Amino acid sequence: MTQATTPSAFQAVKGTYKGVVKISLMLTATYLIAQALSSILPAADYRSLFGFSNRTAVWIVAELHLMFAAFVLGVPIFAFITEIVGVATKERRYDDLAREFTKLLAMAYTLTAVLGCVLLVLFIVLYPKLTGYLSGLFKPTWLLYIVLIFGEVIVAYLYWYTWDLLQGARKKWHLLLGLLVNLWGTALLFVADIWVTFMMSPAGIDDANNLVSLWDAINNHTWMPINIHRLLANVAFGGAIVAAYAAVRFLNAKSDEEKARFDWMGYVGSFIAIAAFIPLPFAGYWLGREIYQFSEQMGVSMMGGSFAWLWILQAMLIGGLFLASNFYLWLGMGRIPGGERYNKFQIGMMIVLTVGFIVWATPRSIIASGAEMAAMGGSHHPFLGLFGVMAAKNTAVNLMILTTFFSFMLYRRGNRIPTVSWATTGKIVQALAIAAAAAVVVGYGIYSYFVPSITRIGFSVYQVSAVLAAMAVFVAIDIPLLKGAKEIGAIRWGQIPARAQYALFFLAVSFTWLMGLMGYIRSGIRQYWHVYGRIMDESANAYTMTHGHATIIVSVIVVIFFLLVSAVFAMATRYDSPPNPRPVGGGDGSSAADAASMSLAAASLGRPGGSGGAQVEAKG
Amino acid sequence: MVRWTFYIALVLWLAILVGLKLLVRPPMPVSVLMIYMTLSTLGILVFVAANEERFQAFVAPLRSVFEARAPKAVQALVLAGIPLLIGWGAWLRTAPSWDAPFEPRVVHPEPPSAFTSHGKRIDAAALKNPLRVGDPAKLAQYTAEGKTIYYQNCFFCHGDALAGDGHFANAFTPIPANFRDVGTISMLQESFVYWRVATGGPGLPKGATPWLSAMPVWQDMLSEEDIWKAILYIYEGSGSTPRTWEEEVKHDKH
Amino acid sequence: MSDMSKTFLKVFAFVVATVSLYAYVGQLVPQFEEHPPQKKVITPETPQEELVAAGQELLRGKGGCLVCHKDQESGNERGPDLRQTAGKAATRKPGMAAEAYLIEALVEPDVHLVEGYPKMMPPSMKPPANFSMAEVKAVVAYLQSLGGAEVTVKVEAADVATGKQAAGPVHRGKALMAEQGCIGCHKVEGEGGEVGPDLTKVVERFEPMKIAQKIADPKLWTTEGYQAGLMPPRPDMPEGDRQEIAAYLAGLAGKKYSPTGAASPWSHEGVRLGVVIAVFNVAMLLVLGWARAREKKEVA
Repeated sequence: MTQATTPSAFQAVKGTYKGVVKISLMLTATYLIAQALSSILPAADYRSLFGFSNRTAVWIVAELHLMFAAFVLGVPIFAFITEIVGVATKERRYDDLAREFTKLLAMAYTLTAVLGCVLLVLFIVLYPKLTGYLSGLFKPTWLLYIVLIFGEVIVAYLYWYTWDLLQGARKKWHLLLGLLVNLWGTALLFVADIWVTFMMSPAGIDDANNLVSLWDAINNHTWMPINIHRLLANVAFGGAIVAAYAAVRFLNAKSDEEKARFDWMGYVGSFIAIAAFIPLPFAGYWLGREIYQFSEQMGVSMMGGSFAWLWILQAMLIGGLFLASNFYLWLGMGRIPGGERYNKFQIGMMIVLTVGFIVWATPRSIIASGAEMAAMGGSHHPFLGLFGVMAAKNTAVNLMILTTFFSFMLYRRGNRIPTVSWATTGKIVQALAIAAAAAVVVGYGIYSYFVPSITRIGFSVYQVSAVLAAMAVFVAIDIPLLKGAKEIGAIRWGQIPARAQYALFFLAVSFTWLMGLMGYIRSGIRQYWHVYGRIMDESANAYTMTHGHATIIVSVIVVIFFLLVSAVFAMATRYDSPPNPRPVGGGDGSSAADAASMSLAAASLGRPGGSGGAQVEAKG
Repeated sequence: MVRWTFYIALVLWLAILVGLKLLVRPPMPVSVLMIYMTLSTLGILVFVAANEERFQAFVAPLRSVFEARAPKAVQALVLAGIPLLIGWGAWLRTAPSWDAPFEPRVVHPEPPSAFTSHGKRIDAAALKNPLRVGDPAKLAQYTAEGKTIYYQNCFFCHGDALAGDGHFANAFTPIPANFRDVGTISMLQESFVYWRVATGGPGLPKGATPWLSAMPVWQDMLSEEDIWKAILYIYEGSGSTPRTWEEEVKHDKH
Repeated sequence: MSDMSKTFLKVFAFVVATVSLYAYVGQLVPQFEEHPPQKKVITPETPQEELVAAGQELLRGKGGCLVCHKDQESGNERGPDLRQTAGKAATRKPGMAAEAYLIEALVEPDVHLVEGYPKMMPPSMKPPANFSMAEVKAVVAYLQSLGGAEVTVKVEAADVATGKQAAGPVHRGKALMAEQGCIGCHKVEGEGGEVGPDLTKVVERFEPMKIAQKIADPKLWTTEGYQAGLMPPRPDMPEGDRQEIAAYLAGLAGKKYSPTGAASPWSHEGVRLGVVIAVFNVAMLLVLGWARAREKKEVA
């Protein structure tokens, strides 16, 4: 790879400084616009946006901002990890991949920032009273947030601009920058979450809603669970979007070399997405538990009230994600010499996945006509009723996770034949581990129909532990097992049917839609409260809309998001001179990355809304 | 084998449809059948498409029809059959029927945080069955009294076996709850059951609509104690235990 | 059309199709809107039966009265039995009418305690009950109906506004007036000096917006009978704080006024924001200068 010129430290600092200037200008403009609008417009508790619903306006902008923010916070996490892998394995392609990730990041920052600024203005203008209250309450955190934004802008831009400068012996300094980017990003996320979670589960205020303890208000019931949940989800989401980007590049690729490169990138992206996705349900379970603890009423309206219907939608989305990821892996087997040896397992795995999906999608509340109900003998079907409860669904989802894991392990083994002397024994132990986990999952699943619910809840822990243990055993054996294994042939990167790329788009779209839907539920369960149980939403939009209406808004947001992302990535691609994947030097810096700089900062600014926004509106 | 992928898939699909339709007794509602068939179709298609060889074998017969290479009779059958199938589906959807309309509803409507019973405001979260005492003799006595109350009041609809099949059961839509079903009272806390008994059908929240429950407002007819006794009996009699959250309380954060 | 835009269109069509599928499923589930509970507003026009019913609900619900009292056969006896209060009210305090006594007993319960009961009842116009005067009167109406007495209490227009309006999350006006020294000269809610006019009902004469301006620029007007030029101009007081005071005074006069939130925290924030921006820009400039110098040295 030819590098024209390695940029100097001066150029790197200059690029970064441009970012700082942009964010300074953005913040100043936001402040002045918000101030000007507030003083020109007549006093009000709520305002509408030229007749357009203020709730929907804030919802759309907040969710878009949140999606971009999730992307720019999630991607550095695995860009950094990929870079470390590159250093550890000394393989140049990992470093190139990490650089490619970071380039996308740099592009997305600008838009995140702009959306954040717009959101902030919308908050101040459309919800002046609530915004006034919240910003008064959390004054110190706002200042901290601004400082963090500047810090993030500086480290993120340095990380990007010094990529080629800090190579070789100086790589460790670049890794340090990568670490800093992630620490800063995480801190930003945590601060932004304060505002959202306070609205969900207020604490630290007295009966008259005056601040008593800022720390209690920050460390409310849902703060930490949401932090962790979002951190994981950001990585999964970032991975899915990166994979979708690689898929577009793959479909557009002119040369085999390019195809191979983006096929590999798509694979890595989807792998990251799925890997981060697996622990998400556990984080979600923790969050749900904290919600119940904060207010059982809120928990019940989340799981048992009208929102129960949206969980069926969620089940459908997640089932689809499982199918799509297995589909992608199996198609990928086609480009691995020797992969055909494992085709025989596919039929069994597909049966488990489909039956699991069917059980999972069986509604708790069955929709039936009068005649059908009479035939069933009530609103419960004696047989389907068994599938409607949590015990069956936990069992199904654990088996689906196990199957997907198994799929991936077969993929890993695709072109390799173990050569160690204990290979047969090893494989038998692995098979036993999987079988044992499946037996534990099914056994507890059946047993849980015969015990009281309080005991039953504990069973899901055993089921999950069994699956995790089997995974650990499997991997622990697999690593030495494949050491020095004989390779049947090299993976033929790039030789995968185009429909596999559509599976990657499906993953990205479904993740995004899922994020929009879950955000709506989180926000929606506050019902007609701005701050749950404390400050009522007194606007005309305080009602909870129909599910049909909400899903349409979520869909519109997702479509807008993909349009924006396409625009951003199209720009990124334009500066990517085709033959040379690493067009370092002057050109790159000033145009593409530049724009990026601006964004970062902004990203942060808007965040408050991100969270808050969604709720304000949605909730009503 | 792979050569026949298309036909195997078709036969499998039909077998699933027939199996679900004929083998599941009592018959499952159309809404559920739709979900199951959609997912089965998806599973079959994804499986077929996940391997290049299978995929090519699958589309080969379709190609031969649409590229006019198949025998004329087969082409005519497919090209005429598809519009006919679609037309039949449309007719099924629009044909008038005597059936009552669908009633999508939430099986367990969300309870309010507080409700009024016997002229008192009751905090649902803190509500416990005061008669569920530790003393087995006393508990047995309350349960026995509850049985009497059950037979004097509830039995006519909820039935002798507590299975929701009393004499009047079929006069109602929805029909009364079956306490022996794992999805009913054994999933619920006693406070929830008390709320449903005390406030009846009229006490249901709007979020549970349309719900035409015929359950009377028992607080107008039974005392608080009587309701609790009857609740003791329906759990005892149906062999279930109420759901509790007690374990969770210990983890309370603040 | 280039290959690239063809791919884009295909992918975009796929995205729209997937999203539409999800939205379609969203239409299949039951559709209903849930509206927030209707607020019961007590007005001078509220018919008597409704007033009594509202009073009963307040007494049992928001007021929390049944924690100590009872209004039926069974109940708590930490406080007097409420079924008898209306009947005995006229005889409690010589020279005081039954209705006035009941109101006083609710608003300032410690003034006259019924013999045999300790001093423990919280004033009903403060938290936790936090009644407005209209709500107090509704409760009195219920008490009168309980005792079988004639319901005499009437809700006046002035009762409807809650005196506590200003105590909400947004309105810190009262505390600000004390902090900033306003009540050194002005009287508010019966407290304060006589140098300036009583401000309790000032919003009946001036728009709240004008009050906020007047604090910054007292020359705008001077109330008749008071000396011009005495009041010190306070343009330094943040706009948000002046709005808070105006909102508080508006609440006292029974009017609703919400500060725009314009400046409240933001006027301070503006300065801090400026400082942060300046610090980071200067720091970056210094680093830039250093890098430049270093580069020049290397080249040389």
